[in-house]
Amino acid sequence: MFRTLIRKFNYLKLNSLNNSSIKNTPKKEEIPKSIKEIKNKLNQTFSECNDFITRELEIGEKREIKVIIAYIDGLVEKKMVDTEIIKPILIDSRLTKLNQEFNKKTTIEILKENIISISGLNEVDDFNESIQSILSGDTMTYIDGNKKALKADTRGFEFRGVEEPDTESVVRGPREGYTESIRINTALLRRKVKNANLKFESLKLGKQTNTDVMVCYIKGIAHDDVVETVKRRLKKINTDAILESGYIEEFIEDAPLSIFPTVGNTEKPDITAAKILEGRVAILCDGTPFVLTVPYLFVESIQASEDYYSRFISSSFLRLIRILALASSTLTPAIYVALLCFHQDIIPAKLMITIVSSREGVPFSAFIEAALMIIAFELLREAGVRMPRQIGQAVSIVGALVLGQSAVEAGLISSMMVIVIAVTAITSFIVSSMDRTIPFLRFALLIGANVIGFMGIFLVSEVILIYMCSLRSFGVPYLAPFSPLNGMDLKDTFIRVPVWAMLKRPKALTENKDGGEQSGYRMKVNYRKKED
Amino acid sequence: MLDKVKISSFQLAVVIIGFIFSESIISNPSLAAGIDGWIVILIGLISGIVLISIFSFISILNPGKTLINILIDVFGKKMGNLIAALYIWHFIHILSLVLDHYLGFISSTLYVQTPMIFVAIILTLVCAYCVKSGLEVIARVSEIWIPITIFIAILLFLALIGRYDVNNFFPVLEDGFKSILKPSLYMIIFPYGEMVVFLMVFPHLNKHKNVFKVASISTIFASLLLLIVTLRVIMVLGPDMIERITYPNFISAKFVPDIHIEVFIAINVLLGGVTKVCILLYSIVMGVSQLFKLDDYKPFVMPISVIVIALTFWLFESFFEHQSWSEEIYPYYSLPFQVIIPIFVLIFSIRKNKMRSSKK
Repeated sequence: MFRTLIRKFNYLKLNSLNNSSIKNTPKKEEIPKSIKEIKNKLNQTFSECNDFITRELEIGEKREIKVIIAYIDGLVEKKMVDTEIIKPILIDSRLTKLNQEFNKKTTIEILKENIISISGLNEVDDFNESIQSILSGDTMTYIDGNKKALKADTRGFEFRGVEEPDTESVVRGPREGYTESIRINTALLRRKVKNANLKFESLKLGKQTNTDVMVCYIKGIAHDDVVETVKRRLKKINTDAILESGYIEEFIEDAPLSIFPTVGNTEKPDITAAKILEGRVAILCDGTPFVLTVPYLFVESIQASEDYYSRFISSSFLRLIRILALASSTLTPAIYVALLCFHQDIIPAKLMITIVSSREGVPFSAFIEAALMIIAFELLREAGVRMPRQIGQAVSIVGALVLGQSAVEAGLISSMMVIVIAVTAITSFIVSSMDRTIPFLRFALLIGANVIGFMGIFLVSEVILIYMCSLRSFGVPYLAPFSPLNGMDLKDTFIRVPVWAMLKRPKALTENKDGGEQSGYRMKVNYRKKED
Repeated sequence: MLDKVKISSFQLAVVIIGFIFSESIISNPSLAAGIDGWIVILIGLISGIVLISIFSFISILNPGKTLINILIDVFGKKMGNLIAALYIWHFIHILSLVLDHYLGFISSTLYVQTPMIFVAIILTLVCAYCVKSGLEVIARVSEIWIPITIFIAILLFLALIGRYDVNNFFPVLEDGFKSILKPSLYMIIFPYGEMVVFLMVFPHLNKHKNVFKVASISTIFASLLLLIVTLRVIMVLGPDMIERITYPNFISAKFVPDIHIEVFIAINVLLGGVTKVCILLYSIVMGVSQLFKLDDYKPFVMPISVIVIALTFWLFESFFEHQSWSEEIYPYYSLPFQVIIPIFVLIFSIRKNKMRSSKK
């Protein structure tokens, strides 16, 4: 029975990663020569499309050459189309003195070189490609009697401005966040890394949505294998829709059934810049402010961008606090249950008396009590996320008063358990990038503790550890700097050494030709010494 | 399969330390000599280095070959297969002895009322899962656990400083050299001789020439840790207590003032022991698959685990039977497997190497 299940899971895994039999690139189709055919074809393609707009113009000295301008209303900047394409064709073409004469063959050259005043202008000879560009906001100019058409970049549509994201607020550091427009996002990144080696390779994914996706990396730092793997996996995606980068994440991650995230996401360009500078690859997706970064390792869940902006002693301390929070958020309920059920002799006698007296009259076992409270907390949290902000206070009142105080007074829950769950809850907010993983671990450990005490906790954590050790993210072991151990890479884990002491890039990510040397840093150190 | 899996020098060192250190802390063979245990440890250390150099030179002279392949090379096809099968049996036997040690420890100190079979099954299941994930995963897991175990051992040594009584060491060798002869032989076999299973692991080292360096350094380190533990026990408990108590290492942890941490220590040590069980189980299933010339060892993991659990319960009636058996019979029983055959194999390998080089 299990074997068939496992086989099915394997099939699913293979299906998501390796199924490349169907490709979603459409076949090439020539643009018809006569303007009538073009018109028919366009109308056929965009029938019942209310927002599709065509305009027929005449050009040439005797107005004998017909031209069709096609775009989609709302996606283009109308003013630009009017003043930079239509007006020059109608008026400027007659006023300017031309070396060539207008005829069906030369029109395209003349339009391109002398008349249309838009910087992003390309020739297209594939009809399907031209339709794609119309759909993404370009303006197409079809010319009678020519197999080529002109594509003008007139994209301009409404989007949210660059704001500070709610999810990753910082005390110190840049506050700008990504928007839903991929072009703005690439610009934000480029402004951080002004380097020609910063590459953006674009793809279109989703058979129905044709979403723009970009693979971003720094050539010479990112490992070629990782870049290749990312591109290969992206090209193998065969699906209808990519509405958010989460869709891509599910298709390309190494362990689709894992509870641990192996693909990272962020809303802030400075974080992405730091990650690609370490040798990671970023995946930008149109329509979402969340940018993916791979490979994603376990250490990244305890790293924050602010660690690098504040002084290294305080940020090292915060690192330790975060590790403590991670441990306490997963382990506290389990340890409490294990102490109460199996290892009472460890608890000091006075504390034991307090615990027992607080548990007096509680009808449930410690395990049931803990499980109930954890579930109640998860419910409250989900309610807090989903509901409108105005009634947030109501929920906190219900949570704090009803579930906390009243439940204790009514004798349903012991006051000790409320403290335990409070510690668990607060610490789980600290390591927010693991918040989808921690509840599972917490429950597994709780069950282990209830079955066989501390030994259960240790055995369950051993299983978790074995699982984490067998995980990989794009070829890099998930627990990379810890195991396999790399002494130099530990500089950015438990503590963060000063930036001028970070001499090399993480070895796990960039075992590259130039040895991963972060050029300039060593020089800086020497320079400082000389100055002194 | 053999070519793909590679472990680093540090990982191998950690696994060796875990292998020697973790189980010997439960039943420390040196303490059979009472307060002269530290001398036994030193004797064990010297002989351990000799043994580990034999094993590592066998591996260096036969690069890319595991114990099974080497045995078939040395003894011919029929004899070699027979001896390889005997070795696999020996490993299974060692594994059940190890498991019996752990179960005896758990059931008499920590979980007195829990049925042993339950503990045996969950412990073996975790190890089986680890072995199924591969040697790399075993090495990586040990890389995280073993340093913690070492750290706690050193911490405990420091925490008990107030309780130490240096007079416990005297008189040295009260009953003469003869009294430490038997414990020394047991010491040689018990943690060090069992390292013959590493002949199944050595070929996976990424820099194969470093085998001797890594193995000897980690053996010395682990022995020093054992020495620290033994000194702690002797200084805290004294001669009378050591003789009377079954698990002196564990009891000595109870003397830490003000807090009760012995449970954590015991479980931590147990989990270091997972490394030992995993390495043994891995060697067995790898050996079986190589003996029958199969590509994959994973199908054997569960059946072998079941056999081991059954054998564990079948071998001994009580802990004391186990204790006396392992002190009286075990050294002589494992001498051929762990010392005599390896020496023979080493001599043969040297001769073969010389012949090959002279031909060239």
